[in-house]
Amino acid sequence: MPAGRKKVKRFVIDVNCYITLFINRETDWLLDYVIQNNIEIFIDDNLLVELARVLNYSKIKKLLPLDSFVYLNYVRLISTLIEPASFQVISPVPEDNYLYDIALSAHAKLLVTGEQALLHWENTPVETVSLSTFKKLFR
Amino acid sequence: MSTIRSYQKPGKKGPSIFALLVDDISNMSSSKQKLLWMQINKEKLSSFAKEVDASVTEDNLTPQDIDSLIQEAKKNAGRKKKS
Repeated sequence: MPAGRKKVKRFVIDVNCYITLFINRETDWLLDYVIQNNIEIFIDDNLLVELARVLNYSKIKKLLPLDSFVYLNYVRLISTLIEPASFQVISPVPEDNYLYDIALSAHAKLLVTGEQALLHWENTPVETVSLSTFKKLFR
Repeated sequence: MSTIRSYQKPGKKGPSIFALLVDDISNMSSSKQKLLWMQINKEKLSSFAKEVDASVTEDNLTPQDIDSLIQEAKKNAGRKKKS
């Protein structure tokens, strides 16, 4: 099976990208992309809490009306939950510092985010790409 | 390879395919186990994902609309209003 042969590629996906994928009806696409390309996505409790917080925001809730638990379960099922170490990274967006703890702990190849300040951060300790770039990485 | 070559010795019953499979899976990294689990359950996961996709209530949002909505949500979600 492919999982036994190909090298697994490690990624961290920011909350804003999950929300964009949900709103764009690309949930099934992400699943297929992950399986076909041997991608492992890493998450931690901070990311899940942030995702739940955004999903429960009234204007997002109108667009994504299912219980937030459903969307969170999807993310849990396609990802690997870790307890990252603290790397004391000080990013241009302090609330997103936890993303670097996940990425560095998981030895992730890429961080996928829609946050412009992170995408343009020159001193980033992890290569950072937009969701549109992530979508074009493979096939 | 050696397990396969010596699968069944003369006069002895070899391990079941299930036992071999368990052995193979237990020797995989957790990353590969997770991917294998997803491959095995792809249909169920896909059906779940399609339900999530079908739940979206709005079609006409531009990428800019979505970005600003998420920025707004990240800034304000879960924060109590000042009294």
